[in-house]
Amino acid sequence: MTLNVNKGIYGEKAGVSKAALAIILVVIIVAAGVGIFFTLGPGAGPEQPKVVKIGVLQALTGGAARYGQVVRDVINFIVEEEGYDTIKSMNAKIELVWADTQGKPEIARAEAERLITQEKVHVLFGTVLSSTTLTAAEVAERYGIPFVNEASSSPKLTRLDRKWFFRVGPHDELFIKDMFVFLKEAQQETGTTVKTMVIVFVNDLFGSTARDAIVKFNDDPEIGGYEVLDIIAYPPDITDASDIALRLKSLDPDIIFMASHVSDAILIQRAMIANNVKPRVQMVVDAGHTSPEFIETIGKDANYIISREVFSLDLNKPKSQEVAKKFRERYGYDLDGVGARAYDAFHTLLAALEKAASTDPEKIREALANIYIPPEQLINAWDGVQFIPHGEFDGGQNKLAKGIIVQFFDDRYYLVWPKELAVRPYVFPAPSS
Amino acid sequence: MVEPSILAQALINGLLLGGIYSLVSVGLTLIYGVMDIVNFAHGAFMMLSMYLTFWLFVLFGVHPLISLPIAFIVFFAAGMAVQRTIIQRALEGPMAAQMLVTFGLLLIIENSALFSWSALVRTISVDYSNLTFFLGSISISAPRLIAFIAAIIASLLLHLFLTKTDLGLAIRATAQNREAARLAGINIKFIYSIAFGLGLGLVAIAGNLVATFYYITPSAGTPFLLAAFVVAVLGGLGNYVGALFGGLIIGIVESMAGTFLLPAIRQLVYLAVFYIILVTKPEGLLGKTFERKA
Repeated sequence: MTLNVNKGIYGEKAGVSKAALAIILVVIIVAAGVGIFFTLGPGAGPEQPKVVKIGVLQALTGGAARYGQVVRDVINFIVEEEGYDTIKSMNAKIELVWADTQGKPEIARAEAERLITQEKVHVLFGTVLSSTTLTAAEVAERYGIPFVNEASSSPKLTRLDRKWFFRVGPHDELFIKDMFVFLKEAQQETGTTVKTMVIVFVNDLFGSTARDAIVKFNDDPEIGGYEVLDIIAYPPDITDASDIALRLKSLDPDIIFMASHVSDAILIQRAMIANNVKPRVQMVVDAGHTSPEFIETIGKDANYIISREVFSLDLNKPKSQEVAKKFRERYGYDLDGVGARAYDAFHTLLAALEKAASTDPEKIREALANIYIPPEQLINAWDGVQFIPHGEFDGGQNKLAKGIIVQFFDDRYYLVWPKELAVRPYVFPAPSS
Repeated sequence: MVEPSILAQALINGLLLGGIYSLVSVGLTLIYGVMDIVNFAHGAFMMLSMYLTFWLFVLFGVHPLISLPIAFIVFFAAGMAVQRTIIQRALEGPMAAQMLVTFGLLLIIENSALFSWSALVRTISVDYSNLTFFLGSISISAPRLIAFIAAIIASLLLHLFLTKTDLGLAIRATAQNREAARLAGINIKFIYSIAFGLGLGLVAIAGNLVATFYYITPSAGTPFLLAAFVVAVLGGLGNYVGALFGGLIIGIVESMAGTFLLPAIRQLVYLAVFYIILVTKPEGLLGKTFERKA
């Protein structure tokens, strides 16, 4: 039977068309049904993506590129060597999207924006330098994308009430307070007195926040009170550091307190040697002074330098020893403080993604906010990872992170403080010859 | 009150630094004087020379002072090749191409270096890297002194070459008046490639010398390029004698500013000098040696 519409000379044909139309309709409905089944079927819905995109912001070029390189090696180590390439709770592969900040705040901001709006990353990780973390995290805050930071040490970063920002490593105030406590203890134990201080710092966010923290704790009558003879700032890309060495020579302070990156730390130390500057106490805010390059270049002339640290090859933890050994085998250099923080921070992020079981930013944020990682799962000497709730002072800061103090002897830094972790006694002040 | 020993020390430090600035600038200004092209990739070539010195030292144990002539020869040849294959073509193109070609080279070289050798900071430690001589209370860093002496010798040899040889005369003639030089039978393209080769050879010597006390990264040449521009403008772009003295002056200005004002503004001070010269005496303190007639 055919429908009796438009019947005429094409009447018969019109009848056939209706039948064909019906078949096509059935086919379309069946195809759509099958399509919907597979689209919405188990393991493939919008809540169950095939990939988790992690945007990694690092300085891959420019003066700070060495840090970016270390973090890149650490992340590749975790994904390739340790095999953490999947978030099991989502059955999703990890996709790393790298972006180069060039160590410049304005580029970090633009790259964060690109990663979020164009690459559609689900979470951001980075950037070591405090100045670039500051601007990149501002973008993450605006778009509501979780941002996990490994090693930026400016306290300011967790004082801006940013609810999407999480810092796994300790910040300068935690570190520097420890250094002042150490200075006081060392004087009491050795019966020596040090009175005067010169602060030398690289004039960027890292250096200036370190300086602020040094000044702040020096003003604390309990642990500070040293006479600051001069505060010397210098630009990040210097060709010569003889002038700094000369000022140090003429001021002749008891304590030189320094915050430098790798290349400038090497340049300044070499200038100090060339200008015969021999500090009684040289305290450094890790970074450049504890890098393998500094150690290799300066060698024994770095003897007795005292640094804050987060990580030491001396840490008597099986996990630290194992990771450090494998890392050295793969990359040919030792894991340092930046690398160790990146290691624990990236694992914290992976654990949060596992817990969130979703790429929904709010769920990832919630997972991070509620995470607890026990100390035995970390390679740093921290009491664990647990963030201070947002809204409170220092919200987003890992409250269980802390520093250690190391001193250079002959070939490397040894853990000297706190005493319960020390592997050898400290020397304070440095011998005069 | 400024202590005389600190003042003398700051002067010596500035002079030693200035020697290196001179050598970098002499190459830059020679290329500009002859070819009228600003080589933005000058610092990048200096960095390549640092790496050449580094790898020869690390892989084959070649002492930096032995690799110094090697660096000169390699970069002289490379400079001739780059001039013939890349720069010459751009010189025949529009103005924008001439301006951008060396900038493009800089980006390619720096990024290739980054890709090949990563951003890890490398240094060379030779027996005298941390050695210091004392003249009374004044200390002199051995590697810096060696670099200074070598830089001055290299600059003097360049001067002798340009003033006492036929080829040097041809280079100066080309810089002075390209058309007249061509009419006199001078092969301009050949002179260009010699000048570019010499410029790179000189900056390669600078790279080799600083490698013993400076750090080596893919961007290590950039701060020297900045200083070299200032020096070249100070001495008069194209004036290699001016660049020699300009380097010493900037080195001393930088050292004094850092020691007696603030290390944070040492670059600011010489950049201020740069702008004052640009505005008040754009031809530089000594002007151009090669008065261009056409």
